[in-house]
Amino acid sequence: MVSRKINRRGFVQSSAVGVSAAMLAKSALAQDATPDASAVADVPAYNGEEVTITYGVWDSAQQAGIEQQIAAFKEVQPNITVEIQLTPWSDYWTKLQTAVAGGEAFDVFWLNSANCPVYASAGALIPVDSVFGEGGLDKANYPKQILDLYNFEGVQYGTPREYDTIALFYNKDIFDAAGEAYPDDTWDWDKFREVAEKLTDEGAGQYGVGLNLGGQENYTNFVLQNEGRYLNEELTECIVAKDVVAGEALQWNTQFFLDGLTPGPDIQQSNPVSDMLFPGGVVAMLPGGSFRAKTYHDLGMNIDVAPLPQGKVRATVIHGLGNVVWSGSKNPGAALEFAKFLGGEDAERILGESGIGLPAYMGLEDTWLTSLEGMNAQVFVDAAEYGVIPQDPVVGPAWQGTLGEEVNKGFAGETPIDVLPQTIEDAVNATLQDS
Amino acid sequence: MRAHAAPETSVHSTSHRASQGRWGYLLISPMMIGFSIFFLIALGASFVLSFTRWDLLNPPVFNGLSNYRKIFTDSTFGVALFNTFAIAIPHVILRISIALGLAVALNSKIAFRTFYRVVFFLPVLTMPVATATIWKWIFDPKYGPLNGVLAQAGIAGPSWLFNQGTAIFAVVIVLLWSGIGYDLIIFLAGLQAIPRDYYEASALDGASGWQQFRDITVPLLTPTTFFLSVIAVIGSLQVFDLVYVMTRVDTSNRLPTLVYYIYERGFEAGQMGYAISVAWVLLILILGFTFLQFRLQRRWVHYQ
Repeated sequence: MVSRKINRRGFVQSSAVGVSAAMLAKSALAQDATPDASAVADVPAYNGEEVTITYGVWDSAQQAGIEQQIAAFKEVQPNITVEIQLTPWSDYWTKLQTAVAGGEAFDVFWLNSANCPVYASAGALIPVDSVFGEGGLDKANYPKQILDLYNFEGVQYGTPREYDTIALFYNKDIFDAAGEAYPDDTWDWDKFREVAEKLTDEGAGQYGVGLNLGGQENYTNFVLQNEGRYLNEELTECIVAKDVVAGEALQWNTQFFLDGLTPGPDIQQSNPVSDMLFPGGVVAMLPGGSFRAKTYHDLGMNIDVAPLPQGKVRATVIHGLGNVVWSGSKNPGAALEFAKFLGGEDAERILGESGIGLPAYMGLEDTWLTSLEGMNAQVFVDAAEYGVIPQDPVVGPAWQGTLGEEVNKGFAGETPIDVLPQTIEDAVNATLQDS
Repeated sequence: MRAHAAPETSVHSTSHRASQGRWGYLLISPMMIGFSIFFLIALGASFVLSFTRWDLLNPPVFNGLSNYRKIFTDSTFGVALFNTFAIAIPHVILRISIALGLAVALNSKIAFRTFYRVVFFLPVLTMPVATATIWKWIFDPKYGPLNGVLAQAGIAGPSWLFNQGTAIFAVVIVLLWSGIGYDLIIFLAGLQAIPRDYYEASALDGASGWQQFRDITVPLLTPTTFFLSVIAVIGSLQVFDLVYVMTRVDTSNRLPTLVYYIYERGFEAGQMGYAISVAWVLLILILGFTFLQFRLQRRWVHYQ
């Protein structure tokens, strides 16, 4: 994994995963450099005329909160009307790609950090450097690493919205029934596995743990905790087998599937653990993202959350979500105004209070925590201290698709577990050479 | 003035014909404009783009024949091709034979005939994604009713949509369920067109029901059967929505078909140029099969 260890207070710590000097140099450069004037000069400032802009988002659960943000924006800029365009996550990227290619994309839209380099390098985004500074947003209000998620080659392309970390959700009722103590911050991999075994009851259709089939809420965390990485420093080669530790973590993770401690991919084909089986009460523990906290909280079930069990080191995936402006926008000035507003304190407070996301604006964590009353959601905020940004997909997202597919063949028992790391490595390398 | 009357009339009639022609063009123009913009231009553009590397975001880069060359060594393309035919062959055969059998049954004087016709046609009117969603649940390995029934009988049901063999079976079942109603209606229309006299005459000569079916019904229905089999072949080579909804797991698919593979390469892997070249290969396959069917029809299709 790319070793940008991040700290929400804005430090770059030397990390157990190992710090890449080049990355640090790049980040430092980005911070010191003044905004690239030539890049933003083309965008005429918003002149107050009446315009309508579109806002592309993917989460329907957040619609009410977004509407509140838009209403607050209307008070600041009464002549800009914002239209929400909701596309479900499963179709969002397809639609976005096609819309950008077809010249019909959203004026302002959500972009996750993984896709920022893809769209920035293709020239699909307008730099937002101009919204920072005098009379605008203050970079000091955001963890520098969160800001850097939307920094591509020294240019800022997005205003930070929220960040997310991974922790361990658990169903208290299942623990109580088994007389088992709740997970806490002392847990390591062995303890996690031991309790997962105890709470699995095949006859009753109960699973000790629900492991996601994707990396972000499952195996990538454990690869990081084992000090492993998927690609080499130059992002040119997969080293899952060569580096051993990454492969070991994947094998450890796969063993849960082979031993039936988690629903397998065949069951998750129609019953994903996070959406169906954990809320359905047949899964005792679920490593999951902070973005699920509000949904689980509002279920009215006996669900709480603890830090993710630790491996050699503590680590979780940290991701971010930012607001970016499309370079083809017909109203770039108004779009920039909206992106600026969304990164500001007012909009971020609404975000936190509605519980839909952990605001990137420092000091507003409490608004989010208050909305999750009764749930120990502080662990997500604390996890940012040891959160690691997954390896940049600068080389294109294709290799990640191959990685996920190959890992899942291991989960299904189709690739024997002892050759799994080598099989993954070979397949990912083939994709890397192809792209 | 009067002297000019006759020539004027003839001029009028020519211009009338010309104006009729203009009207004709005017009337077909919406269709033709739509056809040109949304089909011909797109077809030409796609042909050119099939020789490029294109991720949709950056401008396409010409890369010669390498997309087409890659298809021949691409093992996933091979899997998709296999799956497509493994679905198409049983689907076409079963669909035509079951629809024919049902049509003959529903053409006879049985009680509630109209009711049955409606029941068999209803699935055709149902949205494919809705159909696929319900069937996905029926085939659910752990909580689905199908495996529930099997468990009652002491049989441990498989993970229907997860294993290639059972997934092909499941998809064919759903295709049959949702497609037979259409064929049934067309067959019924074909049956109505067969003159009663043939049956009466053959009955007088002592032909049995089976002989009538074999020697009158089947031969006289061959034009209908031919039409339906062409449609069924084209349709089953283009299966997408069912496998998209039913057989995906997380980000991969357990039963990728050719059209699914085109979608996955183009929109998810960012290889639109390659995806388009696969689409052209599919087009050639479909053209080839349809051409073959038209050639073969001379041997078995009887027009009255």
